Amino acid sequence: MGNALFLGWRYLTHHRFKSSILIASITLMLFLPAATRLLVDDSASALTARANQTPLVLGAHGSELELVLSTLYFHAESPAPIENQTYVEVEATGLADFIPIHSRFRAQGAPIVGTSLQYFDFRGLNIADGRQMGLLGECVIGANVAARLGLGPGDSIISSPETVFDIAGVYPLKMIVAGVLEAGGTADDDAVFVDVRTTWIIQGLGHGHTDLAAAEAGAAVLSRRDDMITANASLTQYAEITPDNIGAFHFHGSDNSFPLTSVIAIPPDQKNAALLRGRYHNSDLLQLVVPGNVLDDLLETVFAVQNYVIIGLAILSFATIAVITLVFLLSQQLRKGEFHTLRRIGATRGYVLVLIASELGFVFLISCLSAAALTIVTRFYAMRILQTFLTL
Amino acid sequence: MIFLRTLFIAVVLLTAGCDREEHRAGGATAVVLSPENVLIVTSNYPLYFFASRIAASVDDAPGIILPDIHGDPAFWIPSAEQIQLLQSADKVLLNGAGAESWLNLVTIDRRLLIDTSLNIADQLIPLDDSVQHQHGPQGEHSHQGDAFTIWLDPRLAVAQAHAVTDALIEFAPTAEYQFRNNMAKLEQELMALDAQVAEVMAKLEGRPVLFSHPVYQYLQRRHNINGRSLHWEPDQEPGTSAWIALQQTLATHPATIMIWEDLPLQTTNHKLAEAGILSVPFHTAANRPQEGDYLDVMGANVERVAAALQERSYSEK
Repeated sequence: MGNALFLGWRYLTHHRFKSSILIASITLMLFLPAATRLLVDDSASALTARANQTPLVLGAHGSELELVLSTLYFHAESPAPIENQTYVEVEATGLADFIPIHSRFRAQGAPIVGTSLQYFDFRGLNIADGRQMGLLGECVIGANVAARLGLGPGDSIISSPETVFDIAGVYPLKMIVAGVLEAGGTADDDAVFVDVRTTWIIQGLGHGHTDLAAAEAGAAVLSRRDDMITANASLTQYAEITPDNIGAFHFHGSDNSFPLTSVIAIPPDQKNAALLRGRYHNSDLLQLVVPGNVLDDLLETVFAVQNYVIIGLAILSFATIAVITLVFLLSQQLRKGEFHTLRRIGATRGYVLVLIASELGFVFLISCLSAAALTIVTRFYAMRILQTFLTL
Repeated sequence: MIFLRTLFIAVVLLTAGCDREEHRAGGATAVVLSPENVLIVTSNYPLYFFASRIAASVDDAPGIILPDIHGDPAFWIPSAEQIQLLQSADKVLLNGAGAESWLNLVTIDRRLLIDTSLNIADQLIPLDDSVQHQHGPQGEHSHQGDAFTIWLDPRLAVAQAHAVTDALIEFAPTAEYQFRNNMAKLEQELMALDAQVAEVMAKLEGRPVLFSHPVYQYLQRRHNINGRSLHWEPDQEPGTSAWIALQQTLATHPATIMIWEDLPLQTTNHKLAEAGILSVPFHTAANRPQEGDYLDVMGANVERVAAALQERSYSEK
């Protein structure tokens, strides 16, 4: 018996190429349906958990999915902006707690999320190292951003220009890292959080420069009248907010007209939620969505597609089994001489059967182990893979 | 958790240089930490004074803190520790009217903020001396707002104190009677101050006065003072152009008294005296005074103005 298993193993190792193809085929046959189901199930759980934690999202009329993905996962494709005035007005209703989100910009590959301190309480985010952002231009970064870029409190991160060729566009802003968040296994780990006004500075709606009324600004002044000073192009705007120049930072115009991506609403009860939803029910410009419902719609589609994929994979598996069987039977035909020799040197019929079965058993055993290992690895990286897709 | 918070507040107080002695206002001891551990931070000294007076001798009153601000609170940029103090506060009492320019620079939960001038927004005085500037295609803009030394009109100060009272009651409703009682006493003192200032300012009888800086708008409006504001700093020597501008102003506004935020430089004082102008410090008390409290500072201001008027022989009617 032991000899038969030994001979079976030696046969497989001798015919490495053939064995590898068989193992790879069976591994994929087992792995693909299992991984598909696990990936979809895990993603669905993660998506719905974050969505269900977010009661309502207010944003510009348009794609509900884009609005939700942008608010929950800081998706690179931002929906149309809304005015800060909308946030101010809805906050004045007192129907819920409201958190502004402005996630249009990126810094070294990570989304910059302009928000308020309430966001951290709402998501249960704690500072692992350093402190909470305090001044304009400061940021707190997610655990993954800190690990990927090797950043910690006191370091800095620079916002990315929106387009390389936009010479007259927004200057990059050097932001000081005030703290690093604890890892939570969510999209927050991959984000850079700043005060919403810092994103407005990145956008060029606010800036700091030399006091034009001061004597030092002489070279930068184009004309000076009693109540009006005009600067020329040499006026340099500060690219970094420091304790020395922060007093020179200011915003142009009313911040009511400044942009936001969305507003998260956290009503205390169903009644206030219903009142809020009614408020925007017939709005042509704004929409108030329930992220859970929006993602349920998405997941329904995903599950439907998943079923088709699994049916396809089942058919493919059936074909694979048929081919493997054919290969196996043909192989037995080719090995007739080998089996005959074994019988001639004293091997029983049962011994030959054990030998053949052991070869098959080893192939299936290795395939099962490989498929299991691949599934575990896939599951381990499932959320990271999902977040990569969602933030693209 | 409560212990940690208490510890944190204690550390912040120590680092901010505030000892218990500094939490005394007008002879009444302000409560530093209440049993409930509620913390209220004020953004300038008048608000701290009002809150301390209203909370004086009330057992359940919240802790009231004025951060250690160097110079004028209008130009305060909080340090990292002070920002942590603001972020950890249960409420932050603001003067409003744009006095807290740091609000645009600091990340703070807006729900914590109480604007004590919200109910008197229609009585605020808009600034009209801002300089517009333009750079780039965004168009002209200026950094203007309202005059914010509201407390120089004691009637408006009373309105602010009422807002402070409401905030305190929110945290300790059981002590409402005591708070309102203290508020009534404070209101009496403020109205007495108002009457005292009015009596002295009435002696001006419309004669022209100069203000070293545009911070006396509410005082001017309250007492119909015929005043004009310059942009002179007490610790800076005015330039030639400033003296020329003064001469031009005096041509149409022949003032013999100039009210300053602080005692001017001796040379400036001397030059002004040569021009027949008497310098009179009238402290706004925006920040914690070195001696006494808000009422002491205002009382001393009134005495100085009265003495100056007497020196100028503005007779009593």
